[in-house]
Amino acid sequence: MRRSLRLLAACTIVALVCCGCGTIAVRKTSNVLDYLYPEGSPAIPARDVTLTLPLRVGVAFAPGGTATRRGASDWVNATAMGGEVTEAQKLALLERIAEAFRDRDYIASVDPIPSLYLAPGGSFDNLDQLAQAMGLNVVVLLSYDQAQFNETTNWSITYWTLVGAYVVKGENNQTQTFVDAAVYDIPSRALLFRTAGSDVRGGRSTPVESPEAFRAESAKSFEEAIDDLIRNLADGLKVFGEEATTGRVRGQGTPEIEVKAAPGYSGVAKFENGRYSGALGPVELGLVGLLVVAGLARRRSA
Amino acid sequence: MSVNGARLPWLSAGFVVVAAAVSVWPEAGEALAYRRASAEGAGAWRALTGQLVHGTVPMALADLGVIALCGTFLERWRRGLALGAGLAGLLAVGITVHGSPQVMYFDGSSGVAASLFAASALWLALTSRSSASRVLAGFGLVLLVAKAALEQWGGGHLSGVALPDGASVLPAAHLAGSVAGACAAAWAAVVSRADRG
Repeated sequence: MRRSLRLLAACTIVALVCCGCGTIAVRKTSNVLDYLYPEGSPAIPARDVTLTLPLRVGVAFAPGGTATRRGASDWVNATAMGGEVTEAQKLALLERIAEAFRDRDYIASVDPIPSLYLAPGGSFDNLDQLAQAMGLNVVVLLSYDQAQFNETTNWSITYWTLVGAYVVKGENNQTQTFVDAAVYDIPSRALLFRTAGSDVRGGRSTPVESPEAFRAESAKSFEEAIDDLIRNLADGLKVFGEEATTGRVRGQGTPEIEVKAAPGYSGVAKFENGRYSGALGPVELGLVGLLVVAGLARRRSA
Repeated sequence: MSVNGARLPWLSAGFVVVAAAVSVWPEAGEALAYRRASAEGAGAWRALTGQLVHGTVPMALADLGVIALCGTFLERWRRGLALGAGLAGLLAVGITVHGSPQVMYFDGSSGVAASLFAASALWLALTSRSSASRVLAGFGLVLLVAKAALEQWGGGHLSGVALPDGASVLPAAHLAGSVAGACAAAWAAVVSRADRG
């Protein structure tokens, strides 16, 4: 009896250790620098910028994205966790960005560019071809880095019952997404400004549900990171507009910039979204207090 | 209309009630806010109605609170001046908004509030027998105009009120409203003296 109890305890410990240490990482990345400055290519100095409003803007993911998987527990099939970001997914995300900026007066058009149009390592020559074909002045190139982690918790001991693998959410999943946008003026090769968006999310799932949960969280995390990026792009545009009025792209040491209007264009001169509000603040409310005191003084003297 | 000899500020109350109703009713706000794309040609009236719309609650509280207070002051003293200053502010801000090409969307009644404040302050400075009252009111008016002018030409804004996402304050609206209100009060003072003289 004592011997069988010892055996059971040993088995339990081994099972706990085996089940608790499984970690899977799926990483998806694409890099703008690999596209614009492929290995061995000489550095391309930026020239002075002349922006003609309204702008025709292209938005694209840097081509050549990769997906890698590292480690696997006994319970979850790593290859089912999803691979590279699909073209359909990318286009939906690009359309989200384009939609957020189309109503701006100083932007004539925002065109999502499928990755198929961008040759890996194509650099500015590839962008020049696109600019001519699509009539673009400016391109927004997106890089991304998404890492997904899975940890099998101690509840995984219930997986040995087989039913547990279907009903017990013993898999701890986390997804971290970072999306970077670099805005380039194509003719001058100048980086106008860059900004980023990020998202971190987590959840639990059964091992059977894990691949599906991973893919769903991946897609959701990309959407949230893109929404964060859209907000930061709007702020970045505002700051860029303020910098542009000083005559430099991003302050001292960066190329000179001239913003001019195309014939027949009479819209906004600065890169603002054109949304204004009339709102008084604490200073004016303080002044009203002063007026009340003045009114009381008048009443006392009357 | 008066209660126990005191005039009821129904003009100011009416404006505040209508503006508050429009601000909490999103469909009405959307229909009345100023949008340059919709305001070209026959839609220019939106530059006036947009001033009834407020994108956030703090913004509505600040603007409508000042209108309620300054409007009540003016209506108790001289209702015609309250009406004149309010309309002058509304019109001046409308012209400023429609005439500023960078403004694609506008909401908020801070211009009307600034106009009523300026009219109250100048009227008090010109008509009060108390020198303390005159000095305080004049100081308040100078500060209001100086702040708006500094924001307009110096850049930046000192407001701590939460604005709608992506929105910036339009100091030109405050400046136009202040000047319009001050002009209305000055005109009323001239007419009042002429009547007495």
